Amino acid sequence: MELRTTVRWAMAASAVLALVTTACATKEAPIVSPPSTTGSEFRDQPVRPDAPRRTGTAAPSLEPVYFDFNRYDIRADAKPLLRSNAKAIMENEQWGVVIIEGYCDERGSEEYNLALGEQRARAVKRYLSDLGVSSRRMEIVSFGEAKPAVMGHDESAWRYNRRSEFKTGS
Amino acid sequence: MEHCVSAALRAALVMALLAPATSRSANAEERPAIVVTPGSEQTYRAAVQRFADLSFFPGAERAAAFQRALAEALEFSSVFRVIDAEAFLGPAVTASLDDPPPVCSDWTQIGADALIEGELRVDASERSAEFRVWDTARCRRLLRKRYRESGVGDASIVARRIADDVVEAFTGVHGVSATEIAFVSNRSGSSEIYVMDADGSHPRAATANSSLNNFPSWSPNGDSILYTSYRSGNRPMLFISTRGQGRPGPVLRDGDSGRPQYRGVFDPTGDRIAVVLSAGGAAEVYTVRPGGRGLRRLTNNRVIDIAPTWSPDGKQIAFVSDRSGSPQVYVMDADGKNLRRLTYDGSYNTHPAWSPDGKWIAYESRIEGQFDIWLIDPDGNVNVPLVFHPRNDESPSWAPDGTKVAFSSTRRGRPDIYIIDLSGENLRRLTRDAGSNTSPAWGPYPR
Repeated sequence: MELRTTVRWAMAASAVLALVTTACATKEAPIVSPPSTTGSEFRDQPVRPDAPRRTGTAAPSLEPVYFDFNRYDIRADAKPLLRSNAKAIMENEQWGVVIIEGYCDERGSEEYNLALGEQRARAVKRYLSDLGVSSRRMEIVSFGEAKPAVMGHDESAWRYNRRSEFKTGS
Repeated sequence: MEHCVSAALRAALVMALLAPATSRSANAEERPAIVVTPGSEQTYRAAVQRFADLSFFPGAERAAAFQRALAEALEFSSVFRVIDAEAFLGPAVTASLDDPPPVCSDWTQIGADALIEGELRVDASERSAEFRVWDTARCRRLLRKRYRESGVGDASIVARRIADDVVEAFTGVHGVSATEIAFVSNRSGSSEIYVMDADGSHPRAATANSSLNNFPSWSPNGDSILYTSYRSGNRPMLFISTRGQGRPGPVLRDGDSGRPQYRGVFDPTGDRIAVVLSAGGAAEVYTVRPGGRGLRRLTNNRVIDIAPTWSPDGKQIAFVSDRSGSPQVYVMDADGKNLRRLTYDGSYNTHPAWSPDGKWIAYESRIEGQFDIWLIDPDGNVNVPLVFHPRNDESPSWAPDGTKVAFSSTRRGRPDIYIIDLSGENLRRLTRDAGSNTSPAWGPYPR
């Protein structure tokens, strides 16, 4: 066993020696490239348990409202719902800050939908503010096309995913 | 001498025979006219010898696996077709790289334009290979080089780096098989950033925080990924992760902590980041220096301005605005001046991606309810489809050599990442795992 290992070492050493001498003799020394960084890992850590919650609790009496494709103006059918939401928010001080979330259906650029979801949430906030809800009690956040309310890939799902929802922090 | 002349004649003949096939005149009336051409129009044929295994403990299967990996990486380029070793007249296995030149006629006779010889060493802590590549028609050695990768693992990374060198030796443009693509997947249950090799192999998580993560963007040196995450609370924020470092850090400073941060994109030098922040009632485009200083606002209005992409010289930014009433692509100087509208066709044009050679801006366009990838030149003179399919094709990202584009497509139902040549050929699906796979970001060349 020991002898075989020695033989292997000798073979390897002579191979290297041969390589070196021939390379020098023929000036064929290769270009040597440094190791690449490709393949080394990115790391992450789970969100800390004490980090703020991603979403609050759904406010029981605050109805979601829906939007048309690529639009963020408040639809006529949404206005009665928002009026009753405004009344509920003003009557329930204990809810504290209400978070108005904007969402889109799955179609189109995700980044555009993030910006569009913000516009939807902002339009709702503006409407509630006009009805007398204090701006200090409202925050907006967009999730774009992430977190659809209804799974599906046609209008029957999309119509319920283009929406604004309400969450309360408490 | 005689065989060199005949090889040149053969090459000319092959090119003449291939010419009608590559112009795709047969089905020109069925397809929209595509005036773009890939980085290299010519296809070469390569003979890849089985490398001599000089490992301390050699193994026949190791050299065979390496040979397969090298062949796959060469064919990934779309530049090479690899000749079956059964057809070889010359030696199937490299004897020594210090041998005299090969008998080139052995290789030209089987149609090989390139011959690759090599030696392989794989040990406990190192994978290395040395190779030389021959232009068989001129019987000239184009390159001899040695690669060494530390750590354990398969040697396919070395094979891919060799293939990319061989591509450059023949075309003048470095291959991209050794690059990586970042993307977003919900395969674990939450939307996380992943990185895979450019051929779709070795997918691995780059984030694991169980919140929403999106829009990966590489630093030009490939060490860092910038992305948008809801990891710190009820609001999207920009983070940067660097290889080998534990905790991702915020991109902007504390003073900007109040408002949503939607997306960040490094400029080609790494000196600036274009960022999309909510301001004054809508998303706006800014630039900032890495570290968070020097925040500068480029767009200033109450409409959506998003999706910045840098020209390769860093002097201009293309982006999306809905100031006209629908999302369209615009171009401005990197200081916000000299704004001009680029796209006019259709009512939904988003996600511009400027090609590495500066000649094209790929973007996604919605026509009759269908999203496709289009190419427009920065002057707006030529506007042609790259990917056309009844299902949705979105989020184009360029390979660093500018010959391929990655995108996401729902053509098989749930979105997956695909790549395609600039010629519209060689469509290839990269993600095969469960879940939705979106937002590809093709990484830079490895250093």
